Amino acid sequence: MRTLVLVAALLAAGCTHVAPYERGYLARPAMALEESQGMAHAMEKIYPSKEAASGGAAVGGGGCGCN
Amino acid sequence: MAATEKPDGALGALMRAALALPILALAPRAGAAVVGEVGASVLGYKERGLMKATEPILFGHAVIDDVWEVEASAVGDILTGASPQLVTNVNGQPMQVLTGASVYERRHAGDAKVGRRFGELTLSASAAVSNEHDYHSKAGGLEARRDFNDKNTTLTLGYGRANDHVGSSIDPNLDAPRTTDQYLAGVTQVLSPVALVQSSLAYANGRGWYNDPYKFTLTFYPDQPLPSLLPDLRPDHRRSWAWLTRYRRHFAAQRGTLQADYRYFQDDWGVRAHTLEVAWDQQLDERWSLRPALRYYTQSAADFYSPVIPRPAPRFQSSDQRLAAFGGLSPSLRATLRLDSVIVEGAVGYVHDASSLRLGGSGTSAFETLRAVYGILSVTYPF
Amino acid sequence: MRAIAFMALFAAGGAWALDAGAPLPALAAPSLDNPARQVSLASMRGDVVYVDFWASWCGPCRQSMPLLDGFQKRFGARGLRVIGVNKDVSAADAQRFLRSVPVGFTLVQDAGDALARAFDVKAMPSGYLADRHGVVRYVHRGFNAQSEAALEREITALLEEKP
Repeated sequence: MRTLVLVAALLAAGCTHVAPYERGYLARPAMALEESQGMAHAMEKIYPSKEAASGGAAVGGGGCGCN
Repeated sequence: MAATEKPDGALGALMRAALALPILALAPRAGAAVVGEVGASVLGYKERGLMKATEPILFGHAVIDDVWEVEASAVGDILTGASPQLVTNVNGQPMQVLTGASVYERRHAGDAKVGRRFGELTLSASAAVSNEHDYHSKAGGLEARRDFNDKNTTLTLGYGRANDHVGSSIDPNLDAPRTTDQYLAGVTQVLSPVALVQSSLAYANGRGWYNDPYKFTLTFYPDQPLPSLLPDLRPDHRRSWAWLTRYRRHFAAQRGTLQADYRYFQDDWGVRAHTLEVAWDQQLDERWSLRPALRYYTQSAADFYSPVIPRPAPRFQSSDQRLAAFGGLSPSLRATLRLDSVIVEGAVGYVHDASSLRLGGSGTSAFETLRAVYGILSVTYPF
Repeated sequence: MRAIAFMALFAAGGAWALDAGAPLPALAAPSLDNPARQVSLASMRGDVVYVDFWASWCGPCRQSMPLLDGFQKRFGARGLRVIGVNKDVSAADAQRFLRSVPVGFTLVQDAGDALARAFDVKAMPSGYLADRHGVVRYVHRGFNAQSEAALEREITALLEEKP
């Protein structure tokens, strides 16, 4: 846990801290890291069925930070 | 060879779950705060001379009471068209031969994910099933997501396991299992009020049946009267790494957003691949936005890939050109219309895979150029 | 090394938090509809004041805003003043949200973040309930079904307190 906190702190040290009320731009749909559900499921079929590479996607973070 | 599939018990339950999501819209009157969306989309995909696929998709997700997250989707694939099955050098150079048999395949798949937030920590569990008459897959996953520093930093850890069963319509005795464990670690970092980056590493360890039951290689040798015929023979394990980095940067004055994704892939079959996709999302007015994008892909061949059977015949051999060295360029354009009660998205794309597009130029000469177009239409109702 | 980590987090997170017992910041902000008109929090001494920070991009605000509108209508005559502080970068985004979620209580803008910093807003939405003496008594960070019931209890309690 301590290492995680340290990693988070080091990352934060190099960046501008964005307050919870300054997330207007980050909440825009174009700023999302994942595609919209409809597009994402369709795109999953097109490339991986023709290529050897796959995987790598993580979820979470960015966005409006609400709740 | 055609087979119609009835959704099995687990899949039926998932489809019912996906369709039940609109019922959550009634919950606000019952006191719980529900925010989310449901929608449907359809994908059409056509390869020059070969496959044609249509795919209807239903999906939805909701956040209940700021604490529960629910997500589900159901997919039905319909594939038609000839599928290459034989790579032969009967005419001198290796080439893919279509057997001429018309394929009609249906595939049903569904997935669901449920998560609960405990302060800054969110724990989720997911399940997915996919069924066609010669392939069945079940997968489950767990994910932990922790926000730090006013949600400027997010760490994600995930684990998943998939159990597949491979069958064959030309070999009814085939029912081969395959199990894959996947591990994921990712970091998302807000860089500024207009920029963020995410980087994640996924490791997959699979064991079981990897051979493609429909792929064969028929090789003629100048000094041998009879050709050699081999089925697809792959190792019984595969370990792979994928490192994905995504960057988003909004330009307020231009009302546009830059999106860039890069993935490096490497496995113990000898495949190394790079994927780079760059897109620009341009806000045109309050409702419309346009997103042109360009995706470039390059991969090296698997160690045991060969369009002709080497002599002496090796232990592993595959002429499946998905394991060849090639590159691909795919431009696409997406338009989005956002109204208060509905969001409509339409996208068109072109896929061009060729050996000449491989980074460095030295792709497999036997690789048959792929040209495909696709179109996606998606309608989403937020609530 | 650990000390540096703690200092980085500490500095990033803010050295203090506006919680129960603190005085309501006596600031003024321009009205959302008419930026020339200033709305002053100090002038509301004597009323029970709920200052709510919201934005069009805040999902839970779809639930909290109509709720607060209901409270303003029900308790306005008894002395409740709900002030919605909008944190959108453009007023047009706020107006689009208000078209689908119309409210009748006072709305102000906070373009320079003066109010957000003074109230040390840590989540969206955030609500600060102050009594008739201008002392913050309850803080709501985020919004869910429990917030609704708790807020109603707190508002009625403060309205009944003797001035």
